[in-house]
Amino acid sequence: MAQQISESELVLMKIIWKNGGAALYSLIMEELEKDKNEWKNNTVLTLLSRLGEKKFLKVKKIGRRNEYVATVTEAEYQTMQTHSFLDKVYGGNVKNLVSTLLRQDILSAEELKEIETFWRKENE
Amino acid sequence: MNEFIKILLSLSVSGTLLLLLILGLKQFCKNIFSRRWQYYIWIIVALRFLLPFTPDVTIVGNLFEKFDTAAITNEIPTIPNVSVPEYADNNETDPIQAKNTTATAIRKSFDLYSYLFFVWSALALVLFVRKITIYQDFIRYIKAGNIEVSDIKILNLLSDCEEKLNIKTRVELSYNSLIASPMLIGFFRPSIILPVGKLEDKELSHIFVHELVHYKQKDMFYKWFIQIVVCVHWFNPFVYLLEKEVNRSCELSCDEKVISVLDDKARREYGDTLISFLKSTNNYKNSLASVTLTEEAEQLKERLGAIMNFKKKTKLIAAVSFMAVVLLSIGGFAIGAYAAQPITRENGTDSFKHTVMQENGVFYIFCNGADESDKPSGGTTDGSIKFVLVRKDGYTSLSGFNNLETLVEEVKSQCDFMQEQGTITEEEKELVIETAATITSMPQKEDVGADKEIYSVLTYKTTIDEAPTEIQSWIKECDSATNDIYVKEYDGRYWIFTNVVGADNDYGFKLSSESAGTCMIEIIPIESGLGNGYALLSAPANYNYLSVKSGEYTTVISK
Repeated sequence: MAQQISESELVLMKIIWKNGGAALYSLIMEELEKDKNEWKNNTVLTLLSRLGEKKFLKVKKIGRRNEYVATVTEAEYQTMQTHSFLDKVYGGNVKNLVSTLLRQDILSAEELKEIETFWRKENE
Repeated sequence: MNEFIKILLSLSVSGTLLLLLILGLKQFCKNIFSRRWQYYIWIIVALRFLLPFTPDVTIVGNLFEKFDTAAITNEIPTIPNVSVPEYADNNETDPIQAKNTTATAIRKSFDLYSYLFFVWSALALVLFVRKITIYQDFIRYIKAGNIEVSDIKILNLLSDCEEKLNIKTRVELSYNSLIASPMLIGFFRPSIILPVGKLEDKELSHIFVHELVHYKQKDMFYKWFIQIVVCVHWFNPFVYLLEKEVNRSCELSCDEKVISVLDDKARREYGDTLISFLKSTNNYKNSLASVTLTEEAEQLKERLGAIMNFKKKTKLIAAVSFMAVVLLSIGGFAIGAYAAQPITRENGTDSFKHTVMQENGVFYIFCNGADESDKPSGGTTDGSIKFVLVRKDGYTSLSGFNNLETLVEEVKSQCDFMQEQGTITEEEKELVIETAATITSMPQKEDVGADKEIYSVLTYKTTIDEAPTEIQSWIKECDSATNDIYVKEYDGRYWIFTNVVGADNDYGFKLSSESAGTCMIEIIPIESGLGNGYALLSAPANYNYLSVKSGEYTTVISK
């Protein structure tokens, strides 16, 4: 499951995750219509099939329709990507990452305190 | 084995003829038939190369049948003139060269055919396997360098093209730095591969439509089908011509379909796209694994010409095309192939005028279409020779001949008498005399009495118990598990041993000979069907050419 998925594939995964981890094809198409980009039928089918091959999705047949079930949760995906990002950009050095976040004001001091409190509570 | 080789060669010839015919036709009618027709018409040729179906009377079939009869017919010379045998005392047999070569030639031809078959099949197999492994390697190589296309816009473009051509299967799309020209791979799961580099939308849609048409035309299957023909007929240089023709027509046919949906301006642009891909440098391609945009530079000229001159074909042309296909198919079928005929010996009115069957002392001469069913049963002799002329509607017998020396004379006089009486015809008389001459022309042993004298020139059935000890032990060594026919020469006689269906000695045999030197024996089991028995025959070892047949087995002995 260490495969990379493209941006377009990620869009689809997000739709499925938003729908609780499973979605019918028709639903996916509905959501895509809201997107500013055009998504043709075959295009979506191709991308879904790729996700299936990468083991991100499983296809279930409900009657004559296909339901796409995510086998990777959003949290798992985020973790995977975070590790990958950390390794690639920060050489595995988390402290550097956090310091960048703080220095560049991506993470504010208050948010940091919140996190600390939250973490202390988690560990009790 | 030899039948197979003959069929193969005849198919090769037929296919080549049809190929050349259609090639010639194309030269004249290039602009009448659509490119598509010109592409698919080769299927008829490929089928002609592979399928051994043929009407009964054909050109090629007859050609090959001539080879057949030449091989089978033993040039048996006519009976030597009736005369008192002078060499009755001479025990030696003079080898007659003619029969020698025929017999050994037949044996050699079996070996040659097996050798040819082996060589052919080895090469055909190797060729085919090689093509497959090369294909697999190429696919692996390509797949290693593939990068999925994730740009939605491009995927949508592909989707449009798919819809335009009404393609329901999903087609994958990737970039690959290892190729120069766009290509389509895959039989059931098609995938278009693009070379890296900036491509405009227009170019892309040309490419997509082109490759998708290849998929729709099922070109991969067609090309491999032709490859099978090439592998089977690897020895025929014309199949490579077929291969080339098919590849060329493939691209042209594809172009035709593509531009049928384009207008004039777009056509020019399409031509530009084709040219631009020819200019690229990296050039690893395998035409069996992929169908590319540009197969060869030379044909590009033809393709561009065809593009600019494109005219939609009228209904008339469609009708003509259809008729042409029908006519060519019929023609191809009629050219025909060699059809292996079962070899029948008894019917040959050319080689044998009659069949002589011998059982103990009785010689049955079948004439004018009579056969075993007309034979009267239960002929026994008291050691003398008897002739029975078997006709369709009855029989006539001559008997009471005890002396070999005077046999022919006695037979002659009895025959003359019967001819005067009207009981036999002139023709039949000749037959009997000939047979008598045959019997007497075989040298015999000296030191035997009347009965044994006669027996020594006859072929007769015997049992293992009655055979000499030497022969008995030889029989024990023979492998009685198979139905092979074993022949051993011993003490001036040929001993013939084989297994027959039917209990023990329950079989008959047919002996045909037209001269002193040749003899053909056929063992016929009587259909009692219970258990397996054996057949043991003893024949004088004076023949230069002896052939024994039992069921599907034949053994040939020649001196």
